[in-house]
Amino acid sequence: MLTEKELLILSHLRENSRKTITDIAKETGIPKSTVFDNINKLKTKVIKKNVSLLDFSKVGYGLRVNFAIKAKNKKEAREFLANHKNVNSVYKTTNNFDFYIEAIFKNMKEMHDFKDELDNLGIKRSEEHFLIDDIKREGFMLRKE
Amino acid sequence: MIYIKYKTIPRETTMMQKKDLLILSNLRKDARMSLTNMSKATHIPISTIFDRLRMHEVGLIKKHTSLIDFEKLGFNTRANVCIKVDKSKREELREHLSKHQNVNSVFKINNGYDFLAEVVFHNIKDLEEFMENLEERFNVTQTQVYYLIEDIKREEFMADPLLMDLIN
Repeated sequence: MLTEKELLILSHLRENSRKTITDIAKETGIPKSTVFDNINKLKTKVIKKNVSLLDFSKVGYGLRVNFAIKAKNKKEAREFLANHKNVNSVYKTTNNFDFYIEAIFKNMKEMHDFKDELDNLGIKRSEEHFLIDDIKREGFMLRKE
Repeated sequence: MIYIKYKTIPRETTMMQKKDLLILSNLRKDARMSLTNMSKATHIPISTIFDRLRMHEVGLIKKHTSLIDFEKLGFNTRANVCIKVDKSKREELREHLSKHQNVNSVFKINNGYDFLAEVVFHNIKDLEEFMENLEERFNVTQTQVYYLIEDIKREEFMADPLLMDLIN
C-alpha cells in the first residue's frame, strides 16, 4: 500500500505526468528531495507507464473500436494482438471470451482488413464497440480540486 | 456572380510532419521523457521539440498521465462495462459516471449501447453493488460486463518511434 505522500504525488502525476519535481514540490509543500524519492518509489511500485494520450483523429486515425475475442489458438492470438500496430491495448478476459482489445484505424477499410486477419487465424469476435467520444479518461485517483 | 471556393486545410494537418510523429511517438513511449533525451533520440533540436510540444498540447495531446497497476493498490476487480440507458436518464447517468471515483474512463459508444465505462473496484462485491445501483437509480436497461483480468498490452498504439520512421 501507498503512504499518504505517495498517493498525493501519484494523483499529481495522474493529472499531468510531465509535472516537474519543482512543480509538485510547490503545489504540495513537500520538499523536492522527498518528491524525488517518492516518484522513484512509485515508479517501481505502482506506475506501469507514463504515456501521453492523444486525439488520434487529428493524426488521421479516426476510427476507434473495442471488441472481445475468442481464439482457437490462444498463444498465437495473443502474439498476433501484442504485435499488431493497430491494437492499442489488450486485456485477458473471462466468461465467453479470451481477450478484450482496443484497436485504432484510419478508416473502415483498415478495420475490415484487420477483421479478415482475425478470421484467417480462426479468431471469433464479439460485437464491436465504436468509441465516439471521450467523456472521461484515466480519472481514477486524480487530484481533486 | 462568381463563386470562389476556398479549400481550407485544418491547421493541425498542415503542421503534421515526420518530426511531429517522432516527437509524439516518443511521448507515447515515455511521457516523462526530457526534451534533452528526446532531442538525442530524434536528432531534432530541443527548441523545435519545445515549440511543437507546446503547439500540440492545445488539442492533439489530451493528457500526459501515469498508468497505474491497480492490483498493486488493492483493486482486484476491473472491468469494461457497456451500458444502455433510457434517454430520459442518459444525461444524469453521464454525470454520475463522470464523477464516480471508481470509474476510470467513460466513452460514448454506439452499436446498441450508450456508454462504455472502465471501472475499478476492490472486489467483485463492490462492482455488483455499483451495477445494482445503476439499475435502480438510472433505469439502465441493458449491461454487458467484460472483466479485465490481466494487462497484456496497454496504450501501445503509436508508441514505437522506430515504426514512425517507416510510415507517414
